[in-house]
Amino acid sequence: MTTEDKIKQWLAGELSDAERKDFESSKEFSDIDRLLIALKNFKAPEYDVDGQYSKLSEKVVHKSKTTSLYYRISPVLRIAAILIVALTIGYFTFNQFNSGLKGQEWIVAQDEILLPDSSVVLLNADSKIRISHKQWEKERNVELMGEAFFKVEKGSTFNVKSTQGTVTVLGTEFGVKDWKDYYEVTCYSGKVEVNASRTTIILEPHSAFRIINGKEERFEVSEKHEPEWLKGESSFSSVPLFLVLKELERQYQVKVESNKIELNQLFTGSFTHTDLNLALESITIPVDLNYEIKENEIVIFLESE
Amino acid sequence: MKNKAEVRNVCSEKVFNGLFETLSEDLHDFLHYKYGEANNPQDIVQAAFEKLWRNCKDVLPEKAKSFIYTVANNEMLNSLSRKKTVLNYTLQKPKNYTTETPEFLLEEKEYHDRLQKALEELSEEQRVTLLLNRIEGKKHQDIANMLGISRKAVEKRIYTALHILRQKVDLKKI
Repeated sequence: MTTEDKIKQWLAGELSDAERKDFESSKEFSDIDRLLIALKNFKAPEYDVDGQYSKLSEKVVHKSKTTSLYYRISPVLRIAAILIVALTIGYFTFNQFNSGLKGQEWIVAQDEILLPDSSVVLLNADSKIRISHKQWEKERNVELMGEAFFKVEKGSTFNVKSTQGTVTVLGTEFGVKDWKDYYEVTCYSGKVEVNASRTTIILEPHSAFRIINGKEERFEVSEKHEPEWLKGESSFSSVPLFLVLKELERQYQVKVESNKIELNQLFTGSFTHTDLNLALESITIPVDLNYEIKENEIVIFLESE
Repeated sequence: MKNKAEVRNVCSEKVFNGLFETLSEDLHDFLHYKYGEANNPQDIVQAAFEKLWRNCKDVLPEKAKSFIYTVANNEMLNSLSRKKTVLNYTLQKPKNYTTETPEFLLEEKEYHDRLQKALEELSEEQRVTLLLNRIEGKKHQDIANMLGISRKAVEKRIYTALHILRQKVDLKKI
């Protein structure tokens, strides 16, 4: 009998007395035993059946006894009441059905957002998502404004719709940026299909697709498992400077003014989220620029030396 | 003469109460091990039985068990404010302060922290099957009935879960 079989049989209580005693004195067993004993410390809290039932019956069982009041109201009023209720219900369900995602609340969260299927969404600064719980079972649709990182559980079709495109996935990890003039999708694991303007493209891990100022580009990213901004850094690869500055504005909640500089020049590099001066140096030094932080208002000037 | 066509359903308070006594604790434990305490298993049990009462005309007593499990799982799936699964532990107080050194106690705590993380990383199905069996002492067949799967599937999940836990928790290689 292999060790695996012995363990399985022991778990099922199927070993003979002799076999069991023998197994329980082995070294293998002492490790398992320690683990099983430790598991007991995770026991669920005591459940007060009687107390919980009192709470329940107060709310539910006895409540139905008070509906006898209903029958004392005159039949005409009763019918009017039913009609009004029916009309109101009809109005609401009609609206829900038609409006899909509209009318749902936007979710803006600093921590992980857990979707109903256990998929995880992480939002970057100034970003938000919304979903429709009712439609969720049929199709998992997420509406995105801004930038987010998704870890999608296997299941039905999962779509991320934003202004400039739709990403369709089947259980994977990927990032989507949808800012003005800057749409980018990066695949970290699994596969995604991107539908944007006139293009449909399928991305494998470590590849990305973007549209900047109307120009489409497909490129590779290094061996990473998640975007840099999750670890407190914004990273760019050949991105026009004005878009880098926009991200700086969002991360630090500041306004950047520029003075006679070439805003379309391409920037490759990154900046930290935790130190504004360091971040500004990371951006300006590589492209031979300078900056100034004004006292009265949070305005940063960039001027060519 | 007794009416043989008496309809037996959950709408009788006596029957409903009996079902609650029999089924609620197991459902609560199931939800605790599957989703963690932060997701309020007590409230979900209440909601599931509430729904059972509201639909009492359409549910036979013998179908009540699968009804409440289905409702409870759906409540979690559709919850707007679902929290991450966290399974807390309580270390037993050391019996004899002189025989258990600070190093030992620290090692115990670290062991349990690794175990907690590993438990949270198991799939929901593996975790709930393992813990119902090993902590609550539920038999393989009972768990199979609870989860609507075969006894063989239960055995496989328990073994796999245990194997994964050992790999993550034991510091030496297996």
